[in-house]
This record gives sequence, structure tokens and C-alpha cells, in this order.
Amino acid sequence: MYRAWFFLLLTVGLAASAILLTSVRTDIGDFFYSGDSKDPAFRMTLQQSDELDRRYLISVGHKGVDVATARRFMGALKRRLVQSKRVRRVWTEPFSHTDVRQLLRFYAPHQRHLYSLEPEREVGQLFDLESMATQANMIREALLGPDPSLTKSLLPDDPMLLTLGWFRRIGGMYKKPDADPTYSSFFLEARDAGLDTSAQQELIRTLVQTFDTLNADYGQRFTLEFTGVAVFATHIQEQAKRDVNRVGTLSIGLVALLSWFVFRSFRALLCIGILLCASASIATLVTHFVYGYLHGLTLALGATLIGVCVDYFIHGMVNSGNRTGPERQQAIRRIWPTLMLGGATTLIGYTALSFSGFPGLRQVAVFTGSGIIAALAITRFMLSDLMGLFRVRVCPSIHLSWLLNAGAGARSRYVIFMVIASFALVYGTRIHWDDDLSGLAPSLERLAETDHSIRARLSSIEPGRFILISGDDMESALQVAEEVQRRLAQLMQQGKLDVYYPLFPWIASTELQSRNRMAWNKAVTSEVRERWENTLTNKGFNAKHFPALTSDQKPFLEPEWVFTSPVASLLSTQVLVKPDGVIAVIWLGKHAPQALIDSLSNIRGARYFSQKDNIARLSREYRKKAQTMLIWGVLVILILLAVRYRSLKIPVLVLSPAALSIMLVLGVWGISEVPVGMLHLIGLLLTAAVCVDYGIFFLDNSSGDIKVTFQAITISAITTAAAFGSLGAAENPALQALAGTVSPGVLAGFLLCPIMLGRIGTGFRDMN
Amino acid sequence: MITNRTILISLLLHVSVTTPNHLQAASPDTLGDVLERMRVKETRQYRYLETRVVRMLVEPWKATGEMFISPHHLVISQQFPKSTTTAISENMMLYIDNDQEIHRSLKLERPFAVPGMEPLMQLLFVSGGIADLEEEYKVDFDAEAQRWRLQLASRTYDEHDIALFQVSGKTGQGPEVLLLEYADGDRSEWKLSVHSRGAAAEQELRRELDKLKNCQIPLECGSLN
Repeated sequence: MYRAWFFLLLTVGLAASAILLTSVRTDIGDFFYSGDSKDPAFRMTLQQSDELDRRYLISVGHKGVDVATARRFMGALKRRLVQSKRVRRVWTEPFSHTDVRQLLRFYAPHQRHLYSLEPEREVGQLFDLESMATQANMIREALLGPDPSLTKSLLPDDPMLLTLGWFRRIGGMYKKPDADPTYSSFFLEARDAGLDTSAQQELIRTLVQTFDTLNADYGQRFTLEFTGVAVFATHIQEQAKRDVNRVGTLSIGLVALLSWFVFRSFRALLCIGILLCASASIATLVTHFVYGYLHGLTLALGATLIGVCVDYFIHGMVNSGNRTGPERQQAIRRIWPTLMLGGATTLIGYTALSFSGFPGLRQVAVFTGSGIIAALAITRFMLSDLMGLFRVRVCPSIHLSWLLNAGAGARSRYVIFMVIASFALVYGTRIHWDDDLSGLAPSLERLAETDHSIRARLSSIEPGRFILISGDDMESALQVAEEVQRRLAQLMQQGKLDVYYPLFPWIASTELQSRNRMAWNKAVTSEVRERWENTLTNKGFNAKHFPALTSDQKPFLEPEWVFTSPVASLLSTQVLVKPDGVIAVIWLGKHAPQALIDSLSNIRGARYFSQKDNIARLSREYRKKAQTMLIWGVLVILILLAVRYRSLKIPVLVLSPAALSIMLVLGVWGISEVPVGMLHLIGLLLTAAVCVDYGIFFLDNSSGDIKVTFQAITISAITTAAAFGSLGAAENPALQALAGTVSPGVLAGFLLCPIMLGRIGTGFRDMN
Repeated sequence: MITNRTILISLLLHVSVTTPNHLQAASPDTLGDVLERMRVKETRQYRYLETRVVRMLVEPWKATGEMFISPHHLVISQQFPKSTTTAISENMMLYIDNDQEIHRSLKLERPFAVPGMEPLMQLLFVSGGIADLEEEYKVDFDAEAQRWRLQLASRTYDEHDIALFQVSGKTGQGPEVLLLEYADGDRSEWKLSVHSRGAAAEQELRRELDKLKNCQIPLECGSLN
């Protein structure tokens, strides 16, 4: 009795610890990529993610509102938002007027180093008469324009005022889409991390309230749209909460109802609840101990998968029946080897899956494995005491023992096997494997559409598609980037690329700067100097007051200087410096992917990267590996059963209900042409694990009474099918996939047990 | 009998009657008078001649055109040597080179804070008087019988920045000459003459602003209206 009370208190403590100590992450990247991934794309994603995750893109519609009023509204909105403690900054243009002046002054001394990617060809063209005349005109316009001070400050370092042309070139690369006059858009950066959903929810509330208040003052003439990583994250979290509430309530209600229907005892239900709570808490704490966090998907998948554990409790309770004290303990001890065998085969299945390379599944395997081990141990050592504490007497009201008469003879078994196998072979080949893992995230279509339309107004860049550049150091990475940009320039001329965010001429390799200097110094002869002076004179300049055209001796532009200039905020999302190398990114606008891939194919250190394609590729690799590992898992299970039963025939028979159930599911997938992905594979594994357990329990019949054993299997099957069936009520397509796979699979496996093993079981039991 | 003395007295009387008021002894303007006069309260249209003396240019550069100042806008419509328009509102400055089809805009970080021209814009458009400017500029005002002169000397400036703003005009009247002196010795002088004011000037200003509707940056241009 004391042990039972101790266990109760321990369960409360474990549950409290699990709730208080566990931190849950929802970043899908954590589920896909391991923390030590050497994939540069992953590391680049991490680098960008912290900054970009904090950003909101906000778009205010003002159709029918005069522009001056719209501008006043936008100014007021931005001023109010920037006062919020959750907001770091608000901006429209990346550079203010002051930033631009600083940038021009910063880059003026380096213009000769940054003139061209093809300096040998282009520098010389600067010094023909026509180009010189153009430059002189530009200088004159600038001197007589609205900001002569700036122009005069640039000329000493840049006598030909190449800086202005340089800046215009860059500005052209960052071209925005044609402005829709009915929208005004801006960026907002939050102080808190983008995936800190509670902080972001507060910020979103502040944003909406601020807008609504202002809009009321302006007669409700404006509309608000906004997007950003945090918007998706909070939406996912809210949807996950709704799913947990809905599915949790439904599954608990169904299982409770069934348990009451079957056991006619709330105490039995309470007992099961405590045991499940203990198992789930242990699983959570162990996983948290190993990883330091729990992923939301692990919790979702693991919690459903741990429904396997309820089978052990049910078998223990049904086999205990009306027994008390030592007799009950003995009954549980008797079935313990069978339960262990069932647990071992399930563990083998999940271990096999964890070798797929899918980091998320490794965590799921740890979670499920520790939960199953905990459930087995609790069943063996605590179930009897707990039943004694609550005075639980089990007398199930469900009797389907008439199904035991459905056992098929040897010939019939072969026919059944051939029919189902043929069905699987014919239709299984039509399975449409879908490696698009957007199914793991709930339906976000509306958010994705809003996101797309807002981004289209603000930027021409396609998020998630870029050129990834890697180098051993900054110099080599920049040289690769420069070669890439030469190819991209060609693609732009061919119309295969709309726009891109470059690295050059913000930053350049020493090699390129040196080539530019050499080309400049070679070109600036005394004849060229004289030609320039004449050009200036012809344009009305006083050449002797003009800075002279000299050869270049200025120091090259160092990358670390660039990262202290106003352009640092722009480039920090494009360059990542690590001890083992440098990774850089060139963002792309609309483009023809294959043309880009072909163009870059022979540049070492550069590759085209599409986040969506990469995830699909990873998923495909994971899936294929998982399929292989599952086959190995089945072989290991076969060997384990062969050792256990000292026979090769028995294990095959034990696995037959599970195998046939899987074949049925595969065939149905093929017929239905439903896209099948990783989650379906996980569901298939779960089905197999549960059905293998049924086969083992049925054949072993450790209790000695097949009717009792079958009754336990029946109750397990019904509760498992109900629990997983309730997942069908979730919004998350991943959970719906599990529901559609496991429930029918488990029921089929359950029905196939007496059919395939009914007559064999009798002989086997007689033999044993 | 008309004597020499009579003729002299007559002559003196004639001169005193016919002498224009501004040649007569008038009380000089105070700083307050001038600031009050500079503060834009109605629309005025000026003709202007700008002369820039730039060391790097052999000859001074001259431009002529019209300037419109209203409580909400300052528009400079240059006609010679080429057609350009500079339009300034509370939040925006536009520069449009009609010949080269160059259209540029600049959002102003504070109301009417045109970079480099802040003190003048403040005197024209922003209430608050001279006190706000004294932190950054040394203010000198002097007035004689016929003319007044207001100088704002920058307390801190770089080599090519404007070191001195000088506005001057006739006693009892608004600004007539604006002089900008750069620290490097360059200078720009604007000579203004009032062409029209009130409703007539407002009409002309509207016409100038309407021309901006065809500019290449419609959102920015539209915001001026």
C-alpha cells in the first residue's frame, strides 16, 4: 500500500516537473536539422533567422484616400508603434539620408578598387572622350544641384565622382516592384526573438490595437495586413493549442467512455490515467534531459504513440481480473515476458526509424522508447499495488470471443495471404509518395497568400531561394561570389534573372581590388590626365582647383571596415563568418532555376539553394532511409522472435496479422491515390508495432485462457483505434494522416489475429 | 520779387515733398519685425536670380526662375539655364530635372528640415522664433534706416558645409537677398523680387503643383498636393 501511495506522489511530482521544467520549441528547422549540422545552408538559415525572425512586414491599404492624408496616417502609425517597448525600430527605406551621405563618403576613397568585375575591359573605357564628358557633366550637375557640399566632400578622394555612378548601380540592383499607390508598406523589428510566441502575440495585439485606434480617428478608411516569421509561429502555436484541446478532449472522452463501457469502473479508468500520466511524464523528462528541449512535433507525435503503452496496462488489468493481492501479482508476472517481448519489438521498430537520419524522429524515438520502457516497468512493479489501492476489480463487459471461431485453416491462410499480398502488389505500386513536408505544418494558405502579396509590394526578392557561397576564408568566398555575379549579370541580360542582392560592389576580394587598381594605374597616363583637364575646362571647370587624376595608392577596402559602416545591417544577413570558413548568400529575384543551376555548375563553392526544394530533398532522403531501416527492423524482430520461439515458422506466423494489415493499408493508399509522406510511414510503423504485439500476446496466451487474452487484445484494439481515430478531428494534416493510417490498420490487425492465428494458436499453446 | 533765397527754399520744399518715403528718415526694423515678416502667412510668388560662385567653376553660374512660398510649400521653378523643379512640403522634398527626366525624392526627417537649409526653413515655416536656432547658430541682426540684415553663422561645420546664412531686405519689407557662404569660399546668392501675392500667387502655385502630377514618382509627387 505504501508503495502505491509513494507511486501516486511520485507521479504527481513527475507530472509537475515535466510541466514546469520542459521547454518546447516549435521551429520546424529544429525538427529537420541537427544542431551540429555542417550544412552551410542550415548555418546560414540560423544566422539569418534571428534577425529576420524579428521582422514584420506591414502593409496599410488606403484606397480612395488622398495621398497627403495617407502619408499623415502612416507617419502617425509609425511614431506610435516605435514607442512600444516591444518594438526596436520601424523603417521603410534601408538607409536614411544621413546613412546615404555616410555611405558615399565611406566608399569614395575605394571607388577605383570597386569599379568593375571586369576591370581590364571596363576601366579603360572610362577615359575615352565621351565617357569623360559624361562624368564631367555629372560632376557639374552634382555641384550645382541641391547638395553641393556632399559632392565637394567626395571629389578629393574621387576626382571623377565615380561614387555617384556606383551608388546608382547598386540602387538599380535593389529595385522594388512598381509601387501600388493604394498601399504603403514598412518594416518593423521586434525586440524579442521571433519564435518567442508569447512576446510576439503581445506585439501583434499592440500593433492591431494601435492601428485600430488610429483608424477610428481617420474614419476607418485604412486596412492592415502584416506578415513575418512570428505571425506564422503564433498562428501555428494557436492552431496547435486548438488541436491539443480538441483532440485531447475527444480522445480522453472516447477512451474514458470506452473504458467505462468495458470496465464499468471509474476506478479502473483512474488507474489507467495515473499510469499513462506517469509514463508520459517520464518520457518527457528523459527526452528533455537528453536534448535540453522538447519539440512540439515530438510532443504531438510522441503523445499519440505512447497510446501503445495503454495496451500493457489493459493486458495487465484484464489478466488480473478479479484477483487480489499476491494472485494478482502472479497473474501479471505470468504475462510479463510476453509484454516484454511486445515492448521489445516496438522499441526495435522505433529505433530503426531513428536511424533514418531525421533528427526529429530520433527525438520521437527517445520519447516513445523511454515511455514504453516506463510503461512496462510500471505494469510489472506498480500495477498490482495501484489496483489494490483503488480496489480495482476488472470484469470487462466486452466479449468478442466468438471471433476465435473464425480461425482459418492452412489452405485458407495461404489464400488470404495471396489475396491481400496481390492487392498490395497491384495497388501498392500506385502509391504517390509526397515529400513536401508542408503537411507537417498546419494549413497556412491564407497566411501564405497574405505574405506573398505583402512581399511582392516591398521587394522583388524571392524568399527561400538564393545562391549559397562558401569559402575557407573571406577572400576565397568573395572571389567565388564575384565569379557568381559575373554569371548572374549574363543571366540578367538573357532575361533569365530579374534582380539580385549582390555582395560586390559593397565588398570585394583583395584580388579584384588589386586588378581594378592595376587597370586604373595602367590607364591613367599623362595623356589621359591632360585629356581630363581639357574636358573639365571645356565644361567650364577651373581645372587647377580640381583634384588631380592620379594613380591609385589608397589602401584596399577591408571587409571588417564594411561591417562597421551603415551597410552592415544589410550585409549581416548575407555573410556569415565562422572559424572554419565563410558562408555568403546572394538573394535572388524572379529567375529560371535550371538556368541558374546550369550556370553555376562549374563554380566550386557556389550552389543554388531553394529552401523548399532542400526540405523536400531531405524528406525524400529520410523517407528512403527510413524505409530501408524499417526493413532491417523487421528482420531484427524476426530474429528476436526466432530466438524466443526457437523456430523460424512461428515468428512468421506471429508477424502475419501485422504484415497483412500493412499490406491492406498500402493497397488502400494506392487505390485512394492520397499523397503519402513521412507521417504515413510513422503511422504504418505504429500499426505494425501494435499488431505485432497482438500477434505475440495471442500466440503466447500467457494467462492460459485464450478468451481472457483475446478480451485484452480486443479492449486494446478498440481503445487504440478510438484514441488515434480522434486525431482525425485535428486541423493538422499530419495528425489526420496518423488517424487515417493507424485506426483502420490496428482494427485490421486485430481482426486478422484470430483469423490467421486462431487454429495455430491452439496447437502452439498445446505444444508449449 | 523772387530772390535766390526763395528759389532755394522752394527747391528744398519740393525735394522734401517729392522725396520717397524710404529716403526719408524711417525707424529701423527690429529683429522681431523681420522674423514676423519672414514667417510665411500667405502665398507669395517671387522672381529670382541665383548666382553661384564656385571655386571649381571658371565663371559664376547663374539661374533664374520663380519661387513660390506658401504656408505649406516652397517650390522653386528654375527656368534658366534649364528647367528643373524643387518642391518642398512638410515631409518631402522633390527634385525634378525635366530635361533629363531625373526625378528624385527625399523624405524629410522633421517638418521642413531640408538638409543644409534647416535654419532658413525654420524661419519661414516653423514657429518658435530664433531661440531654437541659437544653439547651433550665432545670430547677428543689424538694421539701418534703409536696410536690415540677419546673419546666422554656423557654430560647427565641415570644410564644404554652409558656414553663413545671410538674409537681407529693405526696411519695412521682406527678404530680398539670400546669401549662403560655404566654408570653402564658395557662395550662392539669391536675389528675390515679389511678383504676386495672395490669391494670384496661390493660383500660380497650384499650376506648378499640378505639373508634378505627371512625375515618375507619383506617390511622392502626389503627397505634395
